[in-house]
Amino acid sequence: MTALTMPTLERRLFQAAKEEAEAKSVSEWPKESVETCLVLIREIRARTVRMLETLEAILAEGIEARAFKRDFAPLLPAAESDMTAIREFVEKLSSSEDDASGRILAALHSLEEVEETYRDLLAEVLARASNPHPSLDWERLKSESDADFKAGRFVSFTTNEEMLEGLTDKE
Amino acid sequence: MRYSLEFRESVRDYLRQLPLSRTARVKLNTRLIALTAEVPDSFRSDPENRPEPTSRFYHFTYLFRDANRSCTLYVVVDDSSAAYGVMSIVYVDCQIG
Repeated sequence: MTALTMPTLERRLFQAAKEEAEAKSVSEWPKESVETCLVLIREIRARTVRMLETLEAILAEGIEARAFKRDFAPLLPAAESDMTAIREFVEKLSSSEDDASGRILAALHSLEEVEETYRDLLAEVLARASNPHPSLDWERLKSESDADFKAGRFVSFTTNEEMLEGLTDKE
Repeated sequence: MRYSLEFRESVRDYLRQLPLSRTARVKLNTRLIALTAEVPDSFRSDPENRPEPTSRFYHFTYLFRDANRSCTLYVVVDDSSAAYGVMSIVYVDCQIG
């Protein structure tokens, strides 16, 4: 399974590219450096797409909320930090009009879009996972449940298949 | 241990009427069965999963996505007959989108 965070090496390389753009205008970079930067951004984007697909697959299957929070909450600060770094890089290049800056900027915007989708989905589901349980009147639930039991208003299933059909077969 | 499951009819009807895709409903019910029929004792006995330590109920929240909508299913299970191998699902509430 794809790890759901950007590896440290890629993060450091991205940071180095951003710092280089801060130190020296991209228009002055050697052509090879521009290409290396583009390859890096595209590779990070491809990885982020895989991270998003993995997260979506996990959520399509479904997961218990506390398990999700335990396993995924530590990933949000990294996603926030990656988003900030991408936006800083975009900001740095947004006033440049040379061709090299334009190409890198386009790649960064494409990365930003995917990273934002990933970060937003992670944050949204974590917020849901952190919501407290609904407040219930437990005594009332107990008495209503007992009344249903006495009245035979419970159903039981013998096999998993029967249960699945009984719960699912609405159409 | 694997438990037999029973549902209040109102819970069964509610689950059958959820406005979900059939695929999502099958997955949801499969996981619901797993989280109750095959629930580990450690999960049930965790105080975080019970309204009160002596309550006959344990509860949990299940998160899933269907058609780009995030959904939250809250489930309450009466495990007072666990010693007899039975779990009763007595309350569910699903928030969609």
